[in-house]
Amino acid sequence: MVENGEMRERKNGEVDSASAESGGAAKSVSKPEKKEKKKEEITPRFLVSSSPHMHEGQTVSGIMKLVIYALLPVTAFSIFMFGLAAFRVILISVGSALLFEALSQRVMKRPVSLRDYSAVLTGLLLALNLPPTSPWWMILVGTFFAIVIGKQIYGGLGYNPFNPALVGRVVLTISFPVQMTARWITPSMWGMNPVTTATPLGRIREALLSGGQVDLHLSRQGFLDLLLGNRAGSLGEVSVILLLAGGLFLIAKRVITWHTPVSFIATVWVLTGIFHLIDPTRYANPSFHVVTGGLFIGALFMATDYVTSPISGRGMLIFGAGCGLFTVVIRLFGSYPEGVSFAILLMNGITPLIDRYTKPKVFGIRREEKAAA
Amino acid sequence: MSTGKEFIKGFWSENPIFRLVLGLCPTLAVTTSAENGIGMGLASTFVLVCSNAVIASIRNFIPKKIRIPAFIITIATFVTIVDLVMNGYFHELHKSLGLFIPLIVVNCIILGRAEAFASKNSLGISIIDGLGMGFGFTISLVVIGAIREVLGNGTVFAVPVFGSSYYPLLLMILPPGAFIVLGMLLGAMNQVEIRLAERAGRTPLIRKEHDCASCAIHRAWFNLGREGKRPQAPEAE
Amino acid sequence: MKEVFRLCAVLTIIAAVSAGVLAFVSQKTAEPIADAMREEELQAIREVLPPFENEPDQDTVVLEEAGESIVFYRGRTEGRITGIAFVVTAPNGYSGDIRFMIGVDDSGIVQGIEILKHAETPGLGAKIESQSFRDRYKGKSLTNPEQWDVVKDGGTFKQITGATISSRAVTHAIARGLELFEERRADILGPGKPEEGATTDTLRTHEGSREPVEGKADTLGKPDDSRKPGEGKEEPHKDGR
Repeated sequence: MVENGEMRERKNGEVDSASAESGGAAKSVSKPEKKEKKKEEITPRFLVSSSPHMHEGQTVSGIMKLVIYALLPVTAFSIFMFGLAAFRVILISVGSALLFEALSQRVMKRPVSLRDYSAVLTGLLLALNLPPTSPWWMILVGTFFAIVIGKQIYGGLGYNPFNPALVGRVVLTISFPVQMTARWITPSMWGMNPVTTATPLGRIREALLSGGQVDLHLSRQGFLDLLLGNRAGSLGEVSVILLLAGGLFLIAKRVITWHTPVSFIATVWVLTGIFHLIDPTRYANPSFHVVTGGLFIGALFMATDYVTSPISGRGMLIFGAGCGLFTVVIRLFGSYPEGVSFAILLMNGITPLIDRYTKPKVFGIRREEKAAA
Repeated sequence: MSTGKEFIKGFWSENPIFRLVLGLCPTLAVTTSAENGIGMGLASTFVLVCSNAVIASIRNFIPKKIRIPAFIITIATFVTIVDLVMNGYFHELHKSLGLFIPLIVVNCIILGRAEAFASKNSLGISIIDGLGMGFGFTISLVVIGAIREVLGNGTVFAVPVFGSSYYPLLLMILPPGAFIVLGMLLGAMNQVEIRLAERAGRTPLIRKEHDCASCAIHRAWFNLGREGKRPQAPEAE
Repeated sequence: MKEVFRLCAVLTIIAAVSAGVLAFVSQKTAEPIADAMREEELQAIREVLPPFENEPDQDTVVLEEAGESIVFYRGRTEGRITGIAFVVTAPNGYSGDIRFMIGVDDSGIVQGIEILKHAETPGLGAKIESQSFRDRYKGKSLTNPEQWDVVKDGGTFKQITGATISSRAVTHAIARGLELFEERRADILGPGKPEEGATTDTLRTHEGSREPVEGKADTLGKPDDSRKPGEGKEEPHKDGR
C-alpha cells in the first residue's frame, strides 16, 4: 500500500516541497540524508544533477488515487461476489476512516488532510481485509485503531511505523475471533446464496489439528477457482488475478517496484515447497499456499507501503523475504490459520534496522574513506 | 522536605509508573483486571514499606560495598512472606497473580526506593515514602487494570457495566492491550502535566519536545547530536 | 582482610535473620496453604458431583491407565457411593492439552464437568469454560447419545461457533473418560481391591489419602514407574480403542 507520496516526490530530487499538495507538504521536514540515499537507487530515469530541479508532478493525492484505481477491479469484484454485504462493509469502512481522520486531526490541532486520499485508501484496504459478514461496530473499531492508534498518534501520515490498515485488521483478528475467523461465506453471484464455510487455509488447519483427512492435493480446477476468486475469504483477497492486474498497473506506473512482492511471494513458495517435499501429507502444495489467504493483497498493496517499508531495493528484498518467512511460520506452526498481516507488521517493526544496514554508499566515496569518516 | 510532600509525590510528580516508568513487568503482566491491580499494588506496597523501614533502620550498619545484596535479601524476605501469606489466605488472588508475586523481588521500584531513599533517610520518612510510592503504584495499576478490564471483558471489579450485547475487545486483556493503555495514559498524563505547568507558570516535569525526533534511533539515523536537535526546516536550506 | 571478614559477617547476619523470619512464617502458613489447596480441589469436585456427605479427597481410588495414574474421588451419601469425580486430559485441543474434571454418578451418567487448565484461544476455544457449554454434557452417558461427536461430525453435541476443534476435543475426552469408567467400574466402586489376575491394574490408594484402603499396603505411595516390566507390555491392548 502506498501511503506516503512524499518519498516518491523526493526521489526526483525536487527541493521545493512546498509545491506538493496538502498533507504531505505539511510534514515535509527536510531529511537531508534520506534524500541523499534516495538519489542512489532510483528509477533508470534518474540523472545526477545540481539544482534547479523539475517537479515530476507526482503528489501524495496523485499516488493515493493511483493505488485506489488499482484496487477498483478487486473492489468491484468483491461486490459482485458478495453482493450488498460487501458494499456495506466498504462504505462503512471508508466513511468512518475519513471521519476518524478528520476528528483526530481536529483534536490534535493539525491541518485536516482528507483530500490526500490516504484515509480513503486505508479505509478501503481495511474493508478489503474483512469478511463480508463483518458487523458495523466491528468495522468502526477497526478503522478507529487503524487511523487513530495506527497513524495519527504517531504524528500522522509519514510517521506511522506500522501499516495502519493492517493494525486495524490485526486488532480485529485478535479481539473478535468469532466474527473474524468463523463467519466466512462462499461467494455467489451478487451474494445471493451465501453459505457459511471455512476459508481454505482454515479448513486445512482444522483438519490437521483434529487428525482428520485433508485433501492437500491441488487439482487443476481447484487451483483455477482459487486464482479466479471462487472461494471464501476477505472481500479483497479472493481474486488473485485481479489483484495481480492491479499490482502490475502500479508497477507500470512506477508507484511500486517489483522487489517486495516478488521476494515475498517467492519466499512463501520456496519455503512451503520445502515442507511439502518433506511431508506431503501434512503440508499443502506450495502453489496452494501462494494463491490462498491474503498473500497477494498483502504482498502487492500492503508490504509496498512507502512509509513502513525499506527504501532501497536491497532492503525491499530482505523485507519481502522476512514477510514470507513469518507468513509460512505462522501458517504452518502458529495458532492462526493466516499469517500475512502479522508477518508484514512484524517486518514493519524492523524496517528502520533494514534501512540502516542497507544504506547505499554515497556516490564518490570509497568504502575506506566512509569508514574513516 | 515536609512529610506530606514525601507522601504525595508518589501520586503525581514521582509516580512510579507514569513518571519514573519503573516496575513495568508487573504493570504490563498482571493488570488484566482492576482486582489484580489492587492485589499486586498492595502486595508491592507491603514489601516497599517493610523493606524501606528495615533498610532505613539498619542503613548505618550496612557497608557500602555490600548494600545491594543486603537490600535484595531484605526485599526477597518480605516478598516470600507476602507469597506465603497470600497463598494461604487469598488463594484465588494468588492463583491469578501467579508467578508475578515472587517477581516483586526484581521490581525496580522497590530496589530503587531502597537505594535512592531509604538508605539515606530516617526510618519515619522512609516509611512515608514507601507508603506514598506504594499507593501511587497501586492506583496506577488499578487504573490500567480497570480500563483494560472494562474494554476487554466488559466488567469493572467483575461487575458487568455493559449489556450482554457488548462484544469485549479481547485485545485489551491480552499483552498488547497493556502496552496500548500504558502508552495512552502516559501521553495523557504528560499532556495534563504540560497544561498544569503552563497554568502555574512553572517548568513542566517533562520536556515538551519528547517527540519522535528526540528518540535515539531517530538521532542515529539523522546523525544528530545528543541534544536531539530537530531537523532543519526546508526554508532554512 | 579484616574488611572482607566484616562484609561476610554482616551479610551472614542479614541472611540468617531472614532465614529465621522465613522459617517462622513458613511454619505458620503451612496449614492455611494446605487447606487452601485442598479447598480448591474440593471446590472442583463439588462443582461436578451431586451433593455428598463425606470428604471425597479422603476417599479415593487410583488406577493406572496407559501409564498414567488417574485419581477417582468418591462422593458418598449415607455411606453409598453416589458420585465419582476424576480428571481427564484431552490431548487434541487447539493449542495444547485441555484438563478437566468429570463427575459421574454410579451408573455412569455425567453430573458435570469443570475445566481445570487449558490454553485455548481467548474468545473462541476458551468458551469451553462457559456454563452453557459445560451443561451440554450434563445427564448424558455412554449410551445416550450413541454417538459422542459434535454436530458438525454428525453427533448431537452442539459445538462452540468457531471452536469446533476445542469442542470436539472435550467431547471425545469425555467419551473416553466414560469408557474408562465403564471398563473399570468394579475397581472404582469397589472397596479398592484389585481383581484377581488383573494384569495391568495396579490399584492403590491416593498418596494423600489418610485412610488407606485395606490390603493394598504393598503398593501404597509407590511412584508410577515401580510397575513390573511385564505389566507395561500389556497396556496397549487395554487402550486399544
